[in-house]
Amino acid sequence: MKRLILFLTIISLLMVCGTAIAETGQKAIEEIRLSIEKSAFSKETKISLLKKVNDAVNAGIQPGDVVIIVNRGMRQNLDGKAIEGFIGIAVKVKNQNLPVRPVLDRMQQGLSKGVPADRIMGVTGMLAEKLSVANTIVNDLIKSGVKAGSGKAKEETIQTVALALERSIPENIITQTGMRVKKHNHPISMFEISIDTMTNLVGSGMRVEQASKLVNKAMDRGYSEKDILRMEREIFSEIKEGKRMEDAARRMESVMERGGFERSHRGMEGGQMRGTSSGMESGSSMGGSDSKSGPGWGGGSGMQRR
Amino acid sequence: MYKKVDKDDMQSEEYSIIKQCMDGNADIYSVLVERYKGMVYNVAYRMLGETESANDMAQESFISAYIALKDFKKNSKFSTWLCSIAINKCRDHLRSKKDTVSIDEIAEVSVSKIATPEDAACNRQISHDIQTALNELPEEYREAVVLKHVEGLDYNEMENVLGVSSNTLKIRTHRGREMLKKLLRERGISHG
Amino acid sequence: MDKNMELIHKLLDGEVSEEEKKEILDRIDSDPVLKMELDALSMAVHIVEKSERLSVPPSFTSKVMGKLPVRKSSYREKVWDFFFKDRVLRWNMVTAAATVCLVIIVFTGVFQFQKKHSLISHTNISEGSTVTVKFNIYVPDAKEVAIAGDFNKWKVDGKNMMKKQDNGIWTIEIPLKPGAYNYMFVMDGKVWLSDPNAESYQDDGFGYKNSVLKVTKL
Repeated sequence: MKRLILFLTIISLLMVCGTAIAETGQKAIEEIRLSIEKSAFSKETKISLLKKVNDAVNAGIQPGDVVIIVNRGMRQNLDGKAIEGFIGIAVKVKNQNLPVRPVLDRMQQGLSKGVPADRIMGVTGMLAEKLSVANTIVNDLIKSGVKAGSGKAKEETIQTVALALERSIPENIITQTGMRVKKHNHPISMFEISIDTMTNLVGSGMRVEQASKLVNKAMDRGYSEKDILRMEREIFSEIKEGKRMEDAARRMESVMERGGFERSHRGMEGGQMRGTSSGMESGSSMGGSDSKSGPGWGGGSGMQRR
Repeated sequence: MYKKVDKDDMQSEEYSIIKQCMDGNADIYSVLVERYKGMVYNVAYRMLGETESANDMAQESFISAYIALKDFKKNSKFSTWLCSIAINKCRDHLRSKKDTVSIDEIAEVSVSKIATPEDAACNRQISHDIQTALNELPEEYREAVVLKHVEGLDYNEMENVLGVSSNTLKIRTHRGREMLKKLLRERGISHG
Repeated sequence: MDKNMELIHKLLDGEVSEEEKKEILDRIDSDPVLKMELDALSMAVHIVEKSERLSVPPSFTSKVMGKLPVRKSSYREKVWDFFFKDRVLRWNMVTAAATVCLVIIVFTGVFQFQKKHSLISHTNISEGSTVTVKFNIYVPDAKEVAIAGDFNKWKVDGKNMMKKQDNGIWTIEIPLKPGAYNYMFVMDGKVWLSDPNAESYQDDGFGYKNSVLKVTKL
């Protein structure tokens, strides 16, 4: 009898909120409903969790993402309240019209890695705040006249700025780079790439001031978005070769002083690459990625051939 | 030819990992721990004869190696260097244990573990007996036999690990083998 | 030690040529006492060599990693530079295979950049296209290895399991659209490993370092 009442409550709840659920999400919702029903949670927890799930889907969060959070949370034996808390943060972010993907990704990642629930809650709650600050920074920049591009470009920029803030890059350094972007009449995507490069360099041990100086200088020198990406790669490949971050940064600066970093690629192009790699059969893999990938590029990680 | 590349390949990858550790990316050290934990743990187990100390000493070996990464010479093999750290840890442990455990206790343990011929067929028992026999070898012989026959090192590599000339190591291995043969024969495991 | 016994040990050391081996075995065959010695010793060696290898306790790596001291890098870096700076070039040459992916990442970028300029054609450049990226990691002792990243919503099971090659390298190919991706390798379902050959790394906020891969559109 109890089960029947529970079942009916759940069904009626689903029916009330069901109108908003897209057909594609139906299967996912059904999956969540079944797993929640099968769980060891109390009746009350089951109902309130299911309500939270419906809130999330109604707010426009992909049901597939919600399923992952609920299922992984249950597999980690988390409290129903903790899972509700995660979904609550995501719903809040979504309702503020902020990009929700980074928050969902961080939750899914934390749950998969077995991070304790309160830590995930703390980190994602903080991320939500950073997204809100990032949103203001990006909107101000667009209002000041920087071309916004597509909605996707804006969303990506907000995410990148939020990550930069999360890595403790000060807000004023970020807005300074924003002003540089505006000064050189670049679109918002240039801002995104500059901040991303800065974050990656800082994350690998470069001082914030040095990273921002490098990126700003690159813009002053008329570097394109791709040039900045190449600059970042170049620095990382030097680090891999054993250079210290400090030295790699200084070298990059002096290369820029001389007017570009094309020359630094010399001797590493075409011939030598094929030369070294063909002896170890890697030439084929490069050719493979070349033909397979077409416009993009195929790379890989780790050792390619043995 | 390809085998050669393999070795260089891995060695340079390991240098890169070590470099990254020194630069503060401690997480990456887990790759080396994963790669060599089997070797270090088994050497420690064969040297010490029981799993708990082996586990402790193996962990300590990795931690000491991490602390001493700056002393690692780039032209040597990380595995060899790590192995020598592990052997030293085991020696220290055995020395400290000697102070606390009486000779009688050791003798009692060895006697109680002697197998009957019926048991000899059982793999686990043999494994246990071989350990008991190894425990009875003098430390220097045991090190040589473990590195040579458990880990399959050649004398050059052993020379690097133990810092003793390969001729001396050959003699130690030979004597270790002779003693082992005798000990195993007493337990009814060997022929003859 | 007597001469014959020395020969037996040489044989067991595995340090004899085929000819010598034959000679020694011939001599031993004609001497029953010697043969018995060899048998007994071989048996002892065989037992040691085939003795069961213990599997390492499951939490070993995480325990070690948890006990590592925090590294103060600047002084040690200097020491390191002192030892290694002059060998950077040599390192480059011999590690071509290990770093070939990185090389590909850096150079294919350059290569494609050049190609684009030489062809002056944008017709075959579409944003939605995917590239197949091959990930590798060397962990010979692992029972299973998976790749988890934002591209698969950090899912560890199913089609994200990597395949083990005979040489102990685990590998997987994943089609990816242009973009930046965070990922890690997961060993035996619980140990999370950074990719030692990743282009760069990013803190995940939980104390791990994610590996970062960037696939750029050109």
